[in-house]
Amino acid sequence: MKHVIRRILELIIFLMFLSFVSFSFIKMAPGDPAMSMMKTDEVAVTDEQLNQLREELGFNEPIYVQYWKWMQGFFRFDFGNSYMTKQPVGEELLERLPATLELTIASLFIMVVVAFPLGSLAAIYRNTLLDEASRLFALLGASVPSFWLGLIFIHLFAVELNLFPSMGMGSWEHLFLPSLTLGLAMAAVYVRILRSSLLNSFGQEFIRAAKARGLSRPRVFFHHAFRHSLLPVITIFGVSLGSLLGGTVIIEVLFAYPGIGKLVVDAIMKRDYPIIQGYIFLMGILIMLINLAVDASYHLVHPELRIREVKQR
Amino acid sequence: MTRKKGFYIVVLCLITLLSACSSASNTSEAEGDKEITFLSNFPSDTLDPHLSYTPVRAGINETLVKINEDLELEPWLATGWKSNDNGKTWTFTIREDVTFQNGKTLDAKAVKKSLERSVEVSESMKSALKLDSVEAEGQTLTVTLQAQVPELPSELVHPNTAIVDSEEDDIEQNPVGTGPFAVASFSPSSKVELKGNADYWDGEPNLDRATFTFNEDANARGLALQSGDADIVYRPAFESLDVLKEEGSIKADVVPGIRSQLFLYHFGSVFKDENMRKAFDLMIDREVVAESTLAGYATAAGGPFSTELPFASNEEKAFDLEQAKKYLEEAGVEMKDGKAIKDGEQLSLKVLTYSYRPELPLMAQILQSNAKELGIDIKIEQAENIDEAMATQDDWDLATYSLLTAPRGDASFFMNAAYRPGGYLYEATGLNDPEITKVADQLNATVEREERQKLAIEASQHINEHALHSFIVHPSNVVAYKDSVKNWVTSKSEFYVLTKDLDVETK
Repeated sequence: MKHVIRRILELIIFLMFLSFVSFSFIKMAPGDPAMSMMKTDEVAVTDEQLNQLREELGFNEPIYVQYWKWMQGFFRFDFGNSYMTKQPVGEELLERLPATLELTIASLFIMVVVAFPLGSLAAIYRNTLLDEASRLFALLGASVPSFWLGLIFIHLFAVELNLFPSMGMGSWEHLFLPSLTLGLAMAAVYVRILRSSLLNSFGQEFIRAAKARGLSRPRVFFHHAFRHSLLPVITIFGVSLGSLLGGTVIIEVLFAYPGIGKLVVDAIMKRDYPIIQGYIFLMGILIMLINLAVDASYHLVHPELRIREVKQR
Repeated sequence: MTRKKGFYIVVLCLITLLSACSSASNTSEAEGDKEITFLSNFPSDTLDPHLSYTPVRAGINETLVKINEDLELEPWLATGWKSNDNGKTWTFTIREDVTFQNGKTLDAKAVKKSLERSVEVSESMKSALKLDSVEAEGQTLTVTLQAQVPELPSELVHPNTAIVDSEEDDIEQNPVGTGPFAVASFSPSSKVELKGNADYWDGEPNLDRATFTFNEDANARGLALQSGDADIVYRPAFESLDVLKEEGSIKADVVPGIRSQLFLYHFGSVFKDENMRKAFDLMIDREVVAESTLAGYATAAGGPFSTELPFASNEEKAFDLEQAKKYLEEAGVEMKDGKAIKDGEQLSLKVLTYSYRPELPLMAQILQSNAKELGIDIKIEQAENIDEAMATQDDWDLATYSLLTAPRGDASFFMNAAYRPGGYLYEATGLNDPEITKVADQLNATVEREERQKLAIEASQHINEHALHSFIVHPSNVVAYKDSVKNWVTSKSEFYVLTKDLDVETK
């Protein structure tokens, strides 16, 4: 219980710090949304009108005053309205979050389906043709840019084979090509990590002991070696999950998949401060939660950690 | 064994769920209906017509005045307008027998509420329309402005002045307009599904349904057309056009656009000297720029306004490095050992550019290469936001820029933005030319359309004569579509996309 309260307190302090730092940085960057809001590239606007708008929006006030006003809204769970769409920031972000979550889950699923068997086989059949093939896959996956891979998949699966829609969202078919593009690129990294982690496990004493006890090969592999090898994979999994939830702009643009990444890049371009601030806050919470989950999962897959902690007590 | 069973059950559930998803997406289609999918490059987060162009483009909402394909104003929801006091007070007659998609009748009162909402929601419309008070009686709308706005009818072409039923609740997701299509569903930045409005005042639309989708990647748009996910694609990648045309079932439409790509000179630099500007104006081969940066889908610019506009100045701009050299010499530049020396140092200039329009950095490179032949060193700097960079930095000399100089068929926007004190381009470039400002002032005090056009031509000539800016090319609008699509018109203004006449051949 004590541990949980401590973690929550840490989370609140971290979020306060994050919000202040991000707020200050955003405001210190040159420019503001006044020109975008006024659509200066199509409507004749005078400098005077621009300054008046800046005044109305409070941009001329000191940063700490602006931050305090934002915080007052925050305590009422009001993140403000987007300058561009005039919609509440919370709604805008939550509207995009499901699409990003779907894409994240589907991509990770594809990554697991590809990387786990391939990485395991590469380790088991080390230095065989299969291992070389997995090395080639990893090399290609790391060097092929995802937008190019995406275009190739669209050409193959949508234009030539007509199996999946080339863009948009709405059904699982729409999700297939973007998640395949993201999943395969990620799988390339995981294949190598899992392979080397497994090879490391194979050399451990407890594997030899398990074999000596006469356990079957699958049991030794799945219950002992594989489980032990998951630790580095989980660590990177947490990072991948964070970056996927943060948005994958290139893929979102290519497949016209309206996720959170495109929303925030547009917001940055147009200096839509409330959206940027809301996004940073939301991501802060998500990343903290992911880190907590990763910590917890260490204990699950690695009994040694649990035992060590009990001993320390 | 039980574990295995559980696994199979989970897999079975997943397959059932996925197949349910896929069949659900097809249930809305009815046999024999005429339907079209339009794919554009301008995503929309909101359907609020006062913030987004999409509702007008998708035929949901309409404006009081429209701009036709000759780029002339014509009545739309207003049948006529006049001002008796040089543009301070305007009277509009609202079209009769027009109903909103919810059955309500369009009258001056509904227009008043919509216009008042527009200036309340949109800061840009507030400053463009300068509304003071609006009075409505029957079908007559009287608008009093805070200042003279002789170009008000042209401002009312702006899609953000579109008329919406302001009493409806969900304008951001489901605006109710008077157009040929009503919203069926909207997914922000993804798609708008539309249904034909059988009671449309100008005749029933040919299509039963339409989908308006977005994709910002030009290559992906072309592929969507090839795969059959779209029927009409706006601006496919230029390099993919030949491939698309090779498919017998796809047509491409190339229409001259009204956008201008230009070089802006910073008047706080060496370009204060007219001879320097004239020299650089001669350093660009506009035909080469059109060919190499826009694959030939552009026309060489002879001034600020596209030749499609009634007030364009059809000058031919020369590319002449020898003449450029002479102007440089007049500006005090000496040629020594192949280097252009000014004030004892090699002439070294900074060009600001930005990547949002990929042809602009290329345009800067062409200038860089031509200037090098004359011994001028040019450094190219990419700005994330060009407007911000120009306004906040002092050390730039030139900037590549792209602008709709007459977005609503009138020159006043550009004249005010670039040539009058307070205009954002005027302030950013530090331009100071009392003569052109005088023309802009005259334009702001002239209501009569022909007089306005004459003033715009006069301004163009002055701009060209003194090389205040160098206009390079006008990119074309390119649209590719299936040959089953009928009555497609590529709008020069880019405001009108889905129309009542648009049709599709059903198989």
